[in-house]
Amino acid sequence: MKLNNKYLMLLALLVVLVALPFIVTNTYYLHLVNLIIVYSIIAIGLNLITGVTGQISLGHAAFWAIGAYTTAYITTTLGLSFWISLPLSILVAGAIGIIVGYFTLHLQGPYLAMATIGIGEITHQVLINWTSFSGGPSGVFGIPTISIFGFEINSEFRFYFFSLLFLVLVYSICKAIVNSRYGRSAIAIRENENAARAVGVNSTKVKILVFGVSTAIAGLAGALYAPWVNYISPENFTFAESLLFLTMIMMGGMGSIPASIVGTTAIVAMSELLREVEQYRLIIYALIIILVIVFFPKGIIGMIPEKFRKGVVYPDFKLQGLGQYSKVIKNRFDEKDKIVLKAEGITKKFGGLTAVNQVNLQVGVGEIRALIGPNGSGKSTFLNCLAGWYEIDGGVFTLENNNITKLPIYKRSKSGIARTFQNILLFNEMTVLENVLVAINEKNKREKQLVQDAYEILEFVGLLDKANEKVSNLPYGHQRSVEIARALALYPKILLLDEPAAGMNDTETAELMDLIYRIRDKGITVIVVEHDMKLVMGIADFITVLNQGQILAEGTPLDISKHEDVIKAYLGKEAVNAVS
Amino acid sequence: MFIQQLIAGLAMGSIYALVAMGFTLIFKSMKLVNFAQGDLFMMGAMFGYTFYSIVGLPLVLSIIGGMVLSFLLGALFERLALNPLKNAPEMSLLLVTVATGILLQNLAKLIWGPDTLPFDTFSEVQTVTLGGVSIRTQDIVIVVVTILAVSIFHYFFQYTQFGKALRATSMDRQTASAMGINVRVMILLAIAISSTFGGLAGMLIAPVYFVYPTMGVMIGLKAFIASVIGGLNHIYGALIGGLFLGLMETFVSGYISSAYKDIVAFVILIVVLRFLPSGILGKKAINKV
Repeated sequence: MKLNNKYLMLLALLVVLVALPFIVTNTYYLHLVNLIIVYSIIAIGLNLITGVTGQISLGHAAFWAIGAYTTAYITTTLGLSFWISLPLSILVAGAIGIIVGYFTLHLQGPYLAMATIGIGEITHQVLINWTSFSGGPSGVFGIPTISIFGFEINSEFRFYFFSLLFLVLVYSICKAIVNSRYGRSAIAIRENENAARAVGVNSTKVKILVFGVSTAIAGLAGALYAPWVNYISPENFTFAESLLFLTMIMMGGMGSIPASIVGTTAIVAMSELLREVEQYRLIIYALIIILVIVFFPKGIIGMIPEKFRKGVVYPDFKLQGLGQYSKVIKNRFDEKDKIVLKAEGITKKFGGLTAVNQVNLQVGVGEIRALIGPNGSGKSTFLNCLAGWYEIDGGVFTLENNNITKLPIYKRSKSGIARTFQNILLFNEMTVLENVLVAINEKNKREKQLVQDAYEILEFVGLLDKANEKVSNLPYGHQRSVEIARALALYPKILLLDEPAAGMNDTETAELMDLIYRIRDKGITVIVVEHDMKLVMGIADFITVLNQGQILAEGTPLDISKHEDVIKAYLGKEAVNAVS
Repeated sequence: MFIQQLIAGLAMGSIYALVAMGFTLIFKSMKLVNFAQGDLFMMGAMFGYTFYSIVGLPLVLSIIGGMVLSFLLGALFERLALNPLKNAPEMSLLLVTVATGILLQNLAKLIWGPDTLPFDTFSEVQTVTLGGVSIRTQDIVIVVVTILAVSIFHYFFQYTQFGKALRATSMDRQTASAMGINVRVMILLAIAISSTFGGLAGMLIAPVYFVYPTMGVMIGLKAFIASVIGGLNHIYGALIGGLFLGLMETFVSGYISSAYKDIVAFVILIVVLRFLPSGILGKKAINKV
């Protein structure tokens, strides 16, 4: 029945869309409807990069202009067909987007916003000055209408159906992207780019590609726009238009594809209503934007109660095969003497301070290794060097014969080093299952299989019943477990835990210890930085003590608890008693 | 010719530097790119115009009055638009600054009209000739006043209790708050000071470019580029970035073509973002987790 309902809704929507131009016979109003369609296409593309991926673009009008001018030039000056100019418009806008992305998206922060303002302005100036291409400030006149085998798209009525097809196409493509694993990576980047990289997402590449798609869509809208209005000039495509698109998606709801259309409709309607009071129009417009941001930060779509908005629906868990995280690299306990990680002469300086100084370390397969030491001794710094967050000033990391010293973070994660963070970093707006799915992104597996794998990992850490909850709603202890589950989804060789017991009570700590044992039993090496001496002395096979960036002592918990220097530098009497 | 260009470039650069320092101050204290900065600059010019050309106050009083009003406008902006959003995502804040910019521009249009308003030069002498080179007096005024303003700010920022609290806030809000500094007041102050800098710059440039509601749009964007060039994490980076940009622009339009004058800044921006993302003064950022 549910399925039928869905089709019924779609049918109703179709009837409304087809009937609309027969009801709205006033050419001016139909023109506005068409404007909503063209703007919606751009807004959807913009929402993909800004709402979904979290990278603000303040220059989308430029890409719209690039599409429009490419089509205008090809169809007017060169006299070629729209069907040649359409793909070229998309291509050129997309390619320029990718180049701009390459220059800016390797950075985290508002840099795309800055660069896109620049692109907007450069495009505007080039269009004014490059007269042979753009016709200069006066623009291009007499752009021929689109013709499909002689059928001219020469009225608002015909353009309505023509452009609507493209809107449906763009809508479907973007919706599919958002619901795919690429969409998941993109959302993960928006939620927490550092965490995304830590679970193997090549965030720079994803951001550049999404931006390319987004600008290509703006190019498409431009290609439709130019032959529709027959005349374009640089003044159609200014910073103000770029802002307009941004307010549309803000108004509708960031990150939601349907909301882009809602927001566009609201803004176009609002501008139209305010035409009556022309001189106050922009003032009222600006005030409304401010009020919406302050009082309805999630836009119009956000006013709908959460229960009526459903996210992606994933299949249920079916226990299959061995269960219990069975796909972990085969039990490697027989290789216990093998070295999995070798660190040689690792040195890290911050300005004049040497935080890690010539540290050598060897860790075996299936070993639990604790790194302890007083605050500022370089434990966390060492961990961050190993995971790729800090560029080291000297030394080599070798993971099973592979030199990983120069690998970027996301590649290190994929090569087998997974981590958790001191201050939990999760993808807050995503569910527990989705958090794991971001990490489990294996190229040659089907989505269905990935979901089942993710369920198995959740079962392993004891979070199966929380799979569909938003992580931001979970209590602290569970959030820590989600982080571990997400790290395990990388099927790592080494798991780095950065103060996993911080803020936990005794029961939670005991559960954590149990989990660490079970992870170790799968043959995964665990390196843990921790201050809780009960935990460290209880679970570690081997302890490395750091002090002032150097190794002070190494040995079994028993050795360490008796080591005089260690007691003096760090442990005190209490911990010694904990062991004996 | 070269000397002339140099002085003109320094003058333009000073304007960028003043507005850019405001940018950087806000960015450092609340990690916000304030897109209304250019319009605060415009409002300063409008205030100055009102006192000087409409009310007829003496020049110095007009400028001081304009600065006071700019300061209050900045404070109002923080109270009404930014403070309610203190826990909102970055993007909401950014869009609010954008909307505030549009609001100010159109309010200005309503109050002072859409036309260009003339602003008398500060001195009756238009140009002075030094060693055979004639230089616009306003350029000299701009450079001198900028040096003065930056020096006063430097003293305040480095040596007074308020300045120290402001610096602490811009380095680490949480720690500053834990030290008993009222962070919200400091942010209010930072924004009000940026607005004052913008306003002063607006009044300084007014005799050269006159006053109109959209005069801040381009200057705002360029000042912001100047901040990035200098390094957004360094308050005096804005100074260096501003002067650099002003000189580059003047030389390009003087020796190559004035048609592409406005593009220079944006090309520099994109190149800097790729190859020197922390700017001239900035150190390579460490990604703390």
